[in-house]
This record gives sequence, C-alpha cells and structure tokens, in this order.
Amino acid sequence: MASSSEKVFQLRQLLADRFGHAETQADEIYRTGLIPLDEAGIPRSSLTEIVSSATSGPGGTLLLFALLHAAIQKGERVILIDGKDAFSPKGLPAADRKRLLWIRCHDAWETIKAADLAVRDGNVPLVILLLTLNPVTELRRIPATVWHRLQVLSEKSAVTVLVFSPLAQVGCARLRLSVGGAFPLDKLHQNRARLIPDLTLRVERRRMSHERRWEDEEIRRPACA
Amino acid sequence: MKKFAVLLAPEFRLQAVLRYLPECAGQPVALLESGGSKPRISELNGKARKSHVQIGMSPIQALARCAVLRLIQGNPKHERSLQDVLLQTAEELSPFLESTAAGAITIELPGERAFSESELRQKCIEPLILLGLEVQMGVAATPDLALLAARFGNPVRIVGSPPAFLGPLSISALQPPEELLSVLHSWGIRTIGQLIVLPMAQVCERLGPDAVGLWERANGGRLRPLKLVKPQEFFAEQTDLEHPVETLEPLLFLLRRFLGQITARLAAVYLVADKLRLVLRFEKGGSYQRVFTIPQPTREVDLLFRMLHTHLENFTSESAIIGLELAAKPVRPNAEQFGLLEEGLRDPHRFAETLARLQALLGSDRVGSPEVEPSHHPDRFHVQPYETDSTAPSADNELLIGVPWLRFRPPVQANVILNDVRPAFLYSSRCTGALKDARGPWLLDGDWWKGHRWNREEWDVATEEALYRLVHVEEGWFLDGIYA
Repeated sequence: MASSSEKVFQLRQLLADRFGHAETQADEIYRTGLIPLDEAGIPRSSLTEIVSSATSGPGGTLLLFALLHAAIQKGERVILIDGKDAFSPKGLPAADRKRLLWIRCHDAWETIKAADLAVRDGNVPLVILLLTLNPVTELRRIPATVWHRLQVLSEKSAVTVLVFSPLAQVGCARLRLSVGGAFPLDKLHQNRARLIPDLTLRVERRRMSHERRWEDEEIRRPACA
Repeated sequence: MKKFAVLLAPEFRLQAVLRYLPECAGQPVALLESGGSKPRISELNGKARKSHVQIGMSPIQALARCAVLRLIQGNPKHERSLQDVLLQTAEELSPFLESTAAGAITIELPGERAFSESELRQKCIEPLILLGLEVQMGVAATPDLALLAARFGNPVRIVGSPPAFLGPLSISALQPPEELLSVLHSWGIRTIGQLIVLPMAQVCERLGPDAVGLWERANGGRLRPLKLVKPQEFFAEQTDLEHPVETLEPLLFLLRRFLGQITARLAAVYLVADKLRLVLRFEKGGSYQRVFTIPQPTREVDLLFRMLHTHLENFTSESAIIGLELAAKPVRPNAEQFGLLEEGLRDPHRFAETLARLQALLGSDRVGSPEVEPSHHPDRFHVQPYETDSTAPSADNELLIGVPWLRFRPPVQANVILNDVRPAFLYSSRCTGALKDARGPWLLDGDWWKGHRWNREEWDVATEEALYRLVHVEEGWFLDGIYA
C-alpha cells in the first residue's frame, strides 16, 4: 500500500514525464532577490557564468555569499560545488548552513563529476560551481562538450546552474556576467548589506534559448521568402 | 464454530538453510542429521527425491544414488529466523497463533469470518512463495485436523466435512508408532475410514493407550486451547557464509533476498523502514557497520536495494566477507500532506542516492552541511551529513560584517618583510611584490585552557593584483585566503 507521500511523488513523476517541457519554460527568469542579479536576469534551468577573478576584487565572493543567503532565506536548498575547497562557512549565517549542501572538491575534474550528479538529480533548484581559485590551465582543459552536457542536463532537470569562474570559459552559458566593484581595504570590514550596491555587474553576453531561437527563425522565414 | 488453520513449511530445516544458499537453487540437496552415532539423511528436496535418495540413508548411500547431491547441515539460527517469518505471515489472518512445531504454525481463525481459498493464498502463501519458500496450509475445525489437512494441502486444503476428508487417507498419515501400524495392517486396516468404524473401547482395550490418541486423531482430533505466542517484531536477517565472499554480486544477491524478507514482514504489520543497518563481518576478524538513513521511510525493495548497492559499489575491504547482517528500524508510514507551494525535495529517495554517489566519489567528510565548531579559530568546522528534512530558516536579520574571502586550504607559505611591524613585502608561490597597503593586525588566540594553545596575527594586505588575508602563526607567515 503506497503512503500518501509516495502517491504524491508518483503523481509528480507522472506529470514530469508527460509535461516535462512545461517545467522548463523558455526565457523564464530565476529570481534571486538581489537587485543587481535580478536586473541582469538569470535564466532559469540554464547555465550562467559569473566571471570574477582575483584582480577584479572581492565582488565575486561577496555576490556568492549574498546569493546563498538570499536563496536559503527564500526557503530553497542550494548545492555549492567548491572546486578548490575554498569556501569559508563562517561567512554564512548559522541558520543558512543547514540548507546548504557543500561539496568540497580538490580539482576541476572532481567538480565536474559532482556537478553532473547534482544537476542530473534535479532535486535542488540551484547549483553553484565555485571555480574561482582553480588554476586557469586546469580550467582550460575542460572540453566545451562538458559544459554543453551540463546545459542540457540543467534544462532537463529544471536546475539553475551558476558557474563562478576566473575566466570566460563556458561557451554555452545562456548568460555571462562579469563582476567588479571598488573594494579598498577600508571597506572590507563594513556591513555586508551596504556593500552589495557597490557591486558592478556587466552582462558580457546573453544567448536565447533553443525554443526562442526557433520561434525567431519561424518569424524570419516568411520575410526572407 | 471455531476454525483453525495450520501454516506448514515442509522440509522446514532444509528450507531454513537453503534460504541462505542461493547457489543451491535447482540442485539436489539433502540435510544431514549427525545427532546419532552415524550421520543420516533427514530431509531432502524434490530434485534429490527424484534421484532416488531416501530419508535415513547414510551420506555414502545417498551419494551413490546421486553423485551431485549437496549435503548440508542444519542451522538453528536460520530455523528460528524462518519460524519468525512464518509467525509474522500467519499474523495476517489472526493474532491467536501457536508455534506448534518447527515449521508448523496453528492459527485460530476469527469465528465471524470465513476465509476463502484465494484469500488464504493471497495473504499467507504468496508472500512466502515470493521469499522462495514452499508452504502448505490446511483449514479445519480442530488444530490436529488442520495440521493433517496442511500436510495434504496443494497448497491450501479446506476441510468442510472431516469424514469425507479422512476416510480415504492412509492410516500412516496419522503417524502412528511402527508397532501399532504393523498390527493394524495385519488386521487389514489400511485407511482411516476403516479404523473409525471400529468401536473405540475395544480398539483401545486391544492396542493400549497409544491407540486412544490415534483413534481420536482419526476422528478429527479434539478441540484444545492453543499455547499462544506473539511473533517477535524482528526486522533483521543475518547469515554466516559458507565460503568467504570477495565480489559484489553474491553479496547483492543475499542483500536483495534479505530486503525482500524484511519488507514482507514490515508489510505484514503495516510499517516502513526508517533506517537500515548493514554489518559485514570479515574473514580476518573485525566488522564493518553502516547505518543508512532513509529520507522518506519506505518498504519498497528496489529503493532500499539501490541505496545499499550504491554504497557497496564503492566499498572495498582488505579481507573477504564471511558474514552479513541487515536490520531495519521500523516506523509508522509518514502521513504528511504536501503543501501546494512546498519547497521540499521532489524525490527524497533519488536525492539520498545522489548523496551516496557523491560520498562515494569524494568521501563522506567532503559532502554535507558545514557546522562551525564553537571556537574563535576562523577555520574550525566539520562537515555533517546533509539533513533532507531540515526546515527553511525563519527570516533573520543577522548582521553580516565584512567581505567574505576564499580560503587557501592548506594555507600558502609566504615570506614577509616587515616595515617596522607592518608587512611591506611579500614572497610566495601565489604572488610576490611590494604591498600597497596593509590593515591589521587582528590578534586571535584560543584553546589555552586545553593545553594546545593557538594564536594568530591576521592582516589584510593589498598587492598590485589582489587583496589577500595574511596570517602569522608560530610556524611563520602564510597566505590564508584571497578576496576574489
């Protein structure tokens, strides 16, 4: 005899199987609750690359922690795949840590394998890959097909994937942002909430979803004829 | 009118052992009784019987008849376990049970209900067949008659009219003493029907007190109160392996069978498994124990098996496995109502499996939730298993001070040239150059009361390229992290 919760899972599975495409609506925006990110418009169920290197200041990490806090406060669970075991848990409020699944990797390959499992699972709607401290040579060795596979998986399982990277490398990312901002030493010990507005986010590139591109082609075709 | 049912497992001791010997499936097998002076065959399966092996033969005689015959010894632990299985299955029909003999459970059926043959099959026979057991059942007005009916069940025999059932049966079905049987045969009495037409008083006068019991049984036995027992709620299976196991497949085969047995017992009492405990015993001594927490308590064999399989796929040991044990912690099924806008996990079982895969890939200390230890040390934490049932945090207004930074684990060794007491120049594998600015020092110490005191002097420094966290400890200067 299936319990009521099992029946709900079965129903969810049935709906997902029949109407899977409805879950991943094209060009839907993932709302983070952070004004700079929401203005940029993070595409839901897609790969977004956030480029932030050491030379561009501490904006990337500041954004990461603010994003984790905002998502968890919304009631979401978050998976953080830490590419170089660099995350400092003390920077996150105690209440948020319980909802964070922290996966500590030692190199980019471990990170990619873990990301594949986490995104394929599809239970947690936000997966963050932190590759900021991974050596550039290691990151350049990741083939583009790996990112493409992650993109396809994220669409299938309705998971939003954010990749924090020191260089632009995710060719198939639907959105690429670069993070900057002036954070001199004097500012490093101020209230974090007041520092968020000082972040500067620049949209480097935005790509349309496959469905949207197809629609555009449909519209263009009669005009070409 | 009262009705009794008997659930009977023929060749009980043999079946009890064969449950743990999957490699014997489809082979002629006989149970060897070594209690007396010489070992004898005491039970055998159908294949062995077809090879003309008989009960009472010596092992040499049996092997002469069937060269591929597998001879095994009985195992009291396995017999107890099988008896528990029978009791728990019988409880489906009624709580009034008697453990009449090894492999025979007498059930007092509720008087107000009449069970059909198909119902008895569905409730008692089929679950046991799924576990790979052969069982028979008899239903009659007395316990003795029900036991007799069970012996002739195929697999269920309901006795409506005792004389019609008993009449044509051979007198040996009542299992009389050999001497008594030969006397009756010499009188020309071959069937029970022929015995019961004889007057009881005269039969007993001629044949002695043994004949009283026999005559009573021949008339359907007497109504007696059952010696009631309560089946143990025992949701565990264990076995000692005949040969040490070094590969995964035989282990998985046994675990799947164990899970089938445990979940069938859970289903019988409407419970589900909340946790599973797996114990592996090694040939070189020692054991390995692992507790699996099931995110959404269930008794689905496939889900539970996947959890074990995922874990064991990446399990290695230096020694072969000689025994295993699997136990389930039972709980009532969760009857929670999901909210429409709930942010819970879509499929907790799948998530648990993913967590197990991640742990297998990276190690359990590298997958989980961070838990900061009660210390002023800036990097004291441990990773605890991820809780899938943790609730969303209530909105807090905790004041978060300072820009977070990313840590170098382990810290990068550095050489620092000081200008007065302030760092002025930095040499390290990450960066080298004059420092544009430095803020600090922040002095931290702790654990002096425990005898392993630590103290740190921390600085924020700016180079031409980046901002770093620099730390001075007893061992020297280190780059602790980067504001990236």
